[in-house]
Amino acid sequence: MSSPDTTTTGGTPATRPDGRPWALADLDGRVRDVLPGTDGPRLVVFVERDCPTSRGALAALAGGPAGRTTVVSQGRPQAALDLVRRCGAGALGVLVEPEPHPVSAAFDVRTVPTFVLVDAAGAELARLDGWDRAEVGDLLARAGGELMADGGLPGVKPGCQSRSTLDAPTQDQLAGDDVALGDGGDDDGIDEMWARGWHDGLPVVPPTRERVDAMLDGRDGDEVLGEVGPVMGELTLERLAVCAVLAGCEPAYLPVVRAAAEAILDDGFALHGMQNTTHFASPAVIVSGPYAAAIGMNGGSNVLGPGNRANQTIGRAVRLVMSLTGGGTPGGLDQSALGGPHKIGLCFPEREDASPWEPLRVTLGFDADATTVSVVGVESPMGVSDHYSSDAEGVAATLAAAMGNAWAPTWYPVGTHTPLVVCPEHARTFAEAGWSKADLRRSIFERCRRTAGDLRAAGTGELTPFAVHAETDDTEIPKFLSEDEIVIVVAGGDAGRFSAVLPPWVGFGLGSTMITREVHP
Amino acid sequence: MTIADRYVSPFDDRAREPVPDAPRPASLAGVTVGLLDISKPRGQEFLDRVEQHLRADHDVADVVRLRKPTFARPAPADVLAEAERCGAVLVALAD
Repeated sequence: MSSPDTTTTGGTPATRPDGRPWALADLDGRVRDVLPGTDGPRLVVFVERDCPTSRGALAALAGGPAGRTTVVSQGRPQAALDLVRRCGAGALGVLVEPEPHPVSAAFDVRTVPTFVLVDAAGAELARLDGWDRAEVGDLLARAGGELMADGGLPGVKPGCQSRSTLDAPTQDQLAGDDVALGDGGDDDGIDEMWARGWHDGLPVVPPTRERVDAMLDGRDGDEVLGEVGPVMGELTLERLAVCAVLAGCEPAYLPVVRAAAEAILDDGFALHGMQNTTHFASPAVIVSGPYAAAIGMNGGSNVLGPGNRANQTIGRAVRLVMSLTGGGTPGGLDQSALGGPHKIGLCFPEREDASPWEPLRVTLGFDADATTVSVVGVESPMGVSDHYSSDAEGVAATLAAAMGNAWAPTWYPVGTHTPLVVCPEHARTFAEAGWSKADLRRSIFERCRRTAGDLRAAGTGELTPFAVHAETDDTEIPKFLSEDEIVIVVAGGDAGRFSAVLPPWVGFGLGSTMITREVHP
Repeated sequence: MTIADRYVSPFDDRAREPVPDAPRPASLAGVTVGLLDISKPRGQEFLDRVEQHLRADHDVADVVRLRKPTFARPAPADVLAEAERCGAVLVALAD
């Protein structure tokens, strides 16, 4: 052990002897520069899994914004994964430095942890061996970060001997690298997925090459479907298949996942903004057509979840495309105020056997034989109970009142597609009265309006310009700009007079609209 | 061997050049400042006040008002091109 010690030096360890920049692989196998170009000082931190001071230091760094920090983990990848998992440091992009530790040697690292602050040109500005909370806080601040945790360490703690100072790693060390400490290892890869951040807060299926190939089922994985914002990650069919594997899909679901991915990438869906909004918005994936039944989707009881593999995992795969490939990570670039359970995934089919009406795809102009996927950016479902109306007019009035609450009760018009999931019992009431789907849409469209005076009197401030600028208090403002914005889908169990509204995100042609794509099995 | 052999990544692995922050002007004196309204409600009112403040107190060369058609999408190329002609740009991000 050596004592903590800060020194200031002028060495320039930024490049290899041949002049190329130092680079190491991260835990995803991507080779990254140790000193990527920046406009300010960078903190390079050398750690090692078996060193308690290193573990505490890494946990401390992971507890706040790390700024321009590069973390180098001495040892094999499994040890780095274990270290990252134990320290909750998946977001730090830890680099793996196997023996013989050339970067550590170049930086003259004798102790772990060692903190080396370098300027933008790679010249060393300051150095700390071991742990000193105040010193680390200062170095991290100079690198644009903030030390907000102590990793369970005291104010000062010596480090451990750096592996780079050993002539050669011992066999015990090499064997030890491949053993996870504490919990008996990770044979099934699930712990590794947590460490990599390849998850949505629930366990995932590790995307082995074999599973991904089975998901692709001979399709060309290099086919490019588009770029997923906000990080503009290129979505290849292979990456789509990876997300489908992670989500738990069967290969037969992939054509539906693909159609949904194509739909959210349509410019009209405005995915880039949806990924960054503080609103609840996330795609509802509505499947209409015979392929839904062919892959065993559930349109009946609990249609909006849980319980059916296809429903749950297709919606989840779409979300993983957004949060992983697209970088819309909850708590990262996705800063939704409240989020919602629908953001794990919301996918469901129509229940045509309980519907008195033509299916959604036919309403939208597709062939009855086709299967379509429609995506709409929505909140979690808002239930609507009507057990007492005995006629169609009464049920329509209740549903319209609920539709009027979308976004906010005073927000008129909402100005975009708003799905209404009509349960079979409510649908039967309309059918018995001879109402067509168009009749119900027209009824809701006409009922769903308030006067400007009424809205202004509500006084919430959540008013559209239509309400603010209406010339008279008597001006009627509709909730929907056209009947087409009312998207009716019949689904749900046989019993229970419970329907649901899926309140939408931003409309008026500036935000998101429903996008539909055909499924090609 | 790297661990990437075992699993296929959902991430786009194409190398990207990091984009550094634009250099910050030491002073706004003589600088043309762009004010980008992202079309959030009442953003214009906020930027009106900022413009008054800039003109009265900071000796700016000019203030250019920019506007994204919608906050839900990235800025279109023509708005970005206008912004690039400014020495500094302030973005009014939210309502």
